[in-house]
Amino acid sequence: MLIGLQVLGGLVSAAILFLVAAGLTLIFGVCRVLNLAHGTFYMLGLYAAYSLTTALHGLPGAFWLALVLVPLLWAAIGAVLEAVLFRRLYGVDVLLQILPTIALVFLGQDLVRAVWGLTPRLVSTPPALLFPLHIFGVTAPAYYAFVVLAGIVVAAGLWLLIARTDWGLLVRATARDRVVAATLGVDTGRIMTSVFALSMALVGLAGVLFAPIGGASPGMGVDSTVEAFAVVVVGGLGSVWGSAAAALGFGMLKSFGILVAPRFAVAFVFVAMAAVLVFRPAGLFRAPE
Amino acid sequence: MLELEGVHAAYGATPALFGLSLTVAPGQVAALLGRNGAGKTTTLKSVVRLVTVTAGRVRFRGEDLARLPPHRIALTGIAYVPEERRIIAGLTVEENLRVTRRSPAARAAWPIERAYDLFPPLAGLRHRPGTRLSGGEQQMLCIARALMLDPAILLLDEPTEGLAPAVIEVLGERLATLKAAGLAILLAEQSSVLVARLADTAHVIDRGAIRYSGTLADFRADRQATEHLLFVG
Repeated sequence: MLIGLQVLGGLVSAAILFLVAAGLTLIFGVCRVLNLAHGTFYMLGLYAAYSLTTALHGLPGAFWLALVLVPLLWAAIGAVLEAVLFRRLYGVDVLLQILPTIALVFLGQDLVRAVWGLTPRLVSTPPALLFPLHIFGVTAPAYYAFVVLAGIVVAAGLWLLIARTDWGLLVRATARDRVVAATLGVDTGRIMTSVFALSMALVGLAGVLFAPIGGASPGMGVDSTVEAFAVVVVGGLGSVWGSAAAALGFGMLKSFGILVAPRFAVAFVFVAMAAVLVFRPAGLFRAPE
Repeated sequence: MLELEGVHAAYGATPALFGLSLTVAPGQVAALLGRNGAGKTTTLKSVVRLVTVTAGRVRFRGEDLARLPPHRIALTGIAYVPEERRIIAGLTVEENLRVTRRSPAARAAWPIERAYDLFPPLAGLRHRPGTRLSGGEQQMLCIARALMLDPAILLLDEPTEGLAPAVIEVLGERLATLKAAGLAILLAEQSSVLVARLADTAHVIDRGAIRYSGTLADFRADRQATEHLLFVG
């Protein structure tokens, strides 16, 4: 019974980790920028979900509205941010690339402190998914299963989008060889803007999904970036599928690690990362270059 | 159709072209000849804006290309085939052909099947990763991919480099077919096989400027005058 609970918890962690890491790895793979503020937007997604559901208090569909609105808003912010800031960072020295993203981390933290303060904010679970569900031999809120399902659906959708659509082909071409893609008539600037928007939508979605489970608290942006970064590195920088597998592994490791040594559950993840990097420096799913 | 007029170009702070002028007429093949490092690649890159043009003009069908980004230049009808056969890794042969963003007119003129008709070896390899082709097949793929734009002019950078004579023969034959169909080509080359077969005019470049321009016949007659520009020693 305990095992079943850990499995479900691990899957929930994995789903959230994947949504955050997929965006981080997409931005890195296509735009070659490491966006250290990615987790900050995850945190802001949680707060946005909180504010939106609070403002619409009493409305039964408040949570679902947030689930749609926040990712859309995040996509728009992502597109603007790419055009105004990140576009200037492509091809620049890596230190110069990282500094503005660190600035965004601080801005995000100050914004949280100014608007929401230091108290953690919890979003209530949508009433429709409050009923208990019997799964893996345990009884858990149906909402947990919903989060896992959402993660799986998004992963499948992302696969279809990247592997099977024209847009996905242009994204892969831009990621591999921006110059050749441009000489073939591909507006690589627009492709990168859209990748940024998509990545931001994913991280916004992750924020809203996690809000009823863990709630929003100030330091979680940096924690999330660090964890997602570990997932991305283990999966192989730029590989969405690698991130999916690594997120699953890390989710489980965290969940079961708590059973073994509660205080070191997070450390397990980084020990695993170090172990993977010793044997496969390019990550699990990326051929060494 | 394509006119370069007093073009100066630079890689960052390093200048590479010094007032280069060159014209390619519709349907004609212009050979750009010169030693390694003379500026052949930079000349082609200055047309598609992969290098900064610091002075001078590049015009295509009367339109100044200075204001256009590379992808818009491609869509005006200029297809660039880079030097080192840049197949996009991770993409199959067919995906490489489909990367091109193109007009409905280009789609109608160059359905993917036409690329396979032109280079039959590619048809059987369409689902293979593009990087796992032989050198000759990769060159065919690069040319076919550029043709998907339905270009009016093809910029070819040393297409025969490192290829076997039999493959060069096939390429020459196919390019001759395309030329006969009205395609203009600016051909940067070191070897003389393709040039002898295709070129209408010859332009010798040295240290970033054209030192000789003439018809292929004139060029052959004047060979003595250009010899020192083409060969070391």
